[in-house]
Amino acid sequence: MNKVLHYLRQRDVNMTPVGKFGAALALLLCAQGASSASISGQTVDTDGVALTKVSVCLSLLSTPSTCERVRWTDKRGAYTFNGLKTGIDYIVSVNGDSTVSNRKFEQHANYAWQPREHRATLNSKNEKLKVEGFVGKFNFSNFQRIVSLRAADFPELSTIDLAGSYVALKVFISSEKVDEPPETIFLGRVVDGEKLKIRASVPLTCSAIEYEIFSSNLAINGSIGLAQ
Amino acid sequence: MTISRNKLTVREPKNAGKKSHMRKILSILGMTSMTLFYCSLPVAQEFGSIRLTDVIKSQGTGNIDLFKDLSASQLEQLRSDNDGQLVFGVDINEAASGTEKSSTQAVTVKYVVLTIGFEDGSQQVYDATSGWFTETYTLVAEAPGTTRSTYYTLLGESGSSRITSNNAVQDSFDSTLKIAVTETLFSEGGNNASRATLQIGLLQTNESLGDPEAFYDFSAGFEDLAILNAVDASFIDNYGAGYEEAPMLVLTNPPVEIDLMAVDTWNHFPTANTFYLVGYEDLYPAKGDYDFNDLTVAYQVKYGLNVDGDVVAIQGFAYLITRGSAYSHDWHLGIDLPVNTSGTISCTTYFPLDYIGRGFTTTLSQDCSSTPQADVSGNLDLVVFEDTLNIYRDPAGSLFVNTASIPGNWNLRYFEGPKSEFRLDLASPTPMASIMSAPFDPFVHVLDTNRLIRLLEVDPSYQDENGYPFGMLLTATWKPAIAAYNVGIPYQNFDTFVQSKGVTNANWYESYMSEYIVDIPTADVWAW
Repeated sequence: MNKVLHYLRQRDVNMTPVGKFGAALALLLCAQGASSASISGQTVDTDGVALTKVSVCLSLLSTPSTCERVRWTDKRGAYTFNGLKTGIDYIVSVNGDSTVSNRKFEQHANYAWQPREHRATLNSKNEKLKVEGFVGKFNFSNFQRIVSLRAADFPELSTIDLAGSYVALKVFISSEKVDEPPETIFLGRVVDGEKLKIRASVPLTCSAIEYEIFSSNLAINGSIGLAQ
Repeated sequence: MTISRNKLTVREPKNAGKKSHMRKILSILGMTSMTLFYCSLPVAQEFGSIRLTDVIKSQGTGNIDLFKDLSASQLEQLRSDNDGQLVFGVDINEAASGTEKSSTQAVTVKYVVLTIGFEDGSQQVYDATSGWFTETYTLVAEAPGTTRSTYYTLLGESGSSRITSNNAVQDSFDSTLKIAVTETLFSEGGNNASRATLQIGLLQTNESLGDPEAFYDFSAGFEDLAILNAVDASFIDNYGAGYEEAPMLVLTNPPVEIDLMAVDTWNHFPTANTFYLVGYEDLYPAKGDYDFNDLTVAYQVKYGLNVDGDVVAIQGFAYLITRGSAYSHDWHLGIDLPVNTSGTISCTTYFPLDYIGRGFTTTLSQDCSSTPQADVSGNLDLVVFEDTLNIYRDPAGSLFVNTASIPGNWNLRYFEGPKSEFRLDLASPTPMASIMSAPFDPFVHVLDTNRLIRLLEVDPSYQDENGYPFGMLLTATWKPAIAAYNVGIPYQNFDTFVQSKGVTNANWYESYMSEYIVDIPTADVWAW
């Protein structure tokens, strides 16, 4: 407790004495509940060579498509998720994070991964679980990938009164064919940005997803870059 | 109201088959009982809607002379029946191009002017100032501009029979156009209407922008018109032909309560107009000739999202493109869903018109599987095409379809294959994040070997000892190799791409040696 209070004093945190005490108590409780349990592993290719900068996703079994944490493999192809809670069913997968920010830096997008995922449960606070390695196999088959889009990917939406007039969002990519209209992925009204969820299936060669936000008195064009 | 109706002299409507029968009854009952009896009858049996002779012509304009088909008294009856509005029914006949298809198509209304002349020489003009409307509107740009404005729209469908309809008008007309008419058009001894002309112009939208303009365009079809009684107008409005799949549809009179099982928007995979092409080598686990044309299937899927962004329906199309095998297959589409998911599925296979010449006795559609496919409980595993050797035949009797080579003149004609349309209606809104992502699990069941072939990305075990897959997912511009030619022969950048593990020549499939590929047409042609 004294250490925590000392930390708060050192940081010159602008709090009342009662507030500082409360914060210190909260931090202490958190520290006491923290776990040093971890899950770690490695990504390699079919020759056993470490694959670096591979995005590894940790999700809950109950919400497998939502990455709670993302780690990028290091030079040894290794990754570690530290400070995990016990008694929870986790899923570890490669390239499971389909957000734009992750896709931008994604390596080995052509690879299929075996196994597709690991399921793991930590039983004690100090458990260091090392899961079997993910083996990446070059897969020339797949010329598309999923990019998950939310309202934050269309920053202009936050400046518009969506509940007022009809505001439409069109998400598209350029046609592969010259002089052809763009290819629509999503087209509809946006009423509540919090509820906006879109999946875009785009070719690996696609460097940007385009969008339009428009109403009877508004026209905004934007682009979401997928390349680094 | 009832008295004035009884005073009117009603000309027999063309499509009111029940009316003569009713008159016999009325003559028996006599005038005293007639009024009470008349009051209790549905309005549709009193006077029917009337199909008009003039149409909206190919240039997108119509100059409709109402008096070719109606008298002033009939106009007044229909106006009165619709509470002071003249209601026109429009039968939408658009080309099924782009995102428009038989189940949903639309036009945009640019202007409407109704001019009514009276016996005393006066005339009344009803236009945008005095007020007209349709049940739907959207935001589109008029060609060649890019600025979008709000316009009323007319939606429809073609080729479907409405099992709930009660007459030919309800069965064939799609949308309504309503014009408030304040003047009485006929009364005994009054200043009655003597002519009435409806001018209507459709908007030429800027199709180069894609949707919504491409969907709400006018594509030179004749749009038939009728003037409706209240019952037919109500039926057509409530039926909402073409509504569900239309992009950016806004209801003029939205319901007060939000239906969370209704589709509000669609999320397309890969896009609204393009397809995934998947090619298979069906000798698995033997590598075979590696031409990847033993079965080529094009498919697209879309999620129907409710207003909360949750999935309430999954719908799609698939086409058979090539069959370069002596084996027969069932082609499945699998989609992993949450454990407790339930829903109802439908899947229908359709055949091209020339199938009569391919040994078929009918081109009628049929269920995708001869065995009824159970409704979904958990994951979806849908048989989309069953027994490909039977349903995808070469007209000339060749064992293969669209893969054979005739040296020097091998690609005389591309033969269309069957298509299947499928849909899963979920029992409750399902979070998108809990549903398997595209391209889903498109797999083949080789009937002769009883083996399944999946994409490597779905199941990495489907590969040979060198890591080569047996299913390959490509874009809609893909042109399969002709029979017995390894895919690396026509696609000369392919080997470099593979050797570099995708680092170089990522677009290898865009350049090919034309003499070694099946020059299948673009999706505009094969996606019939």
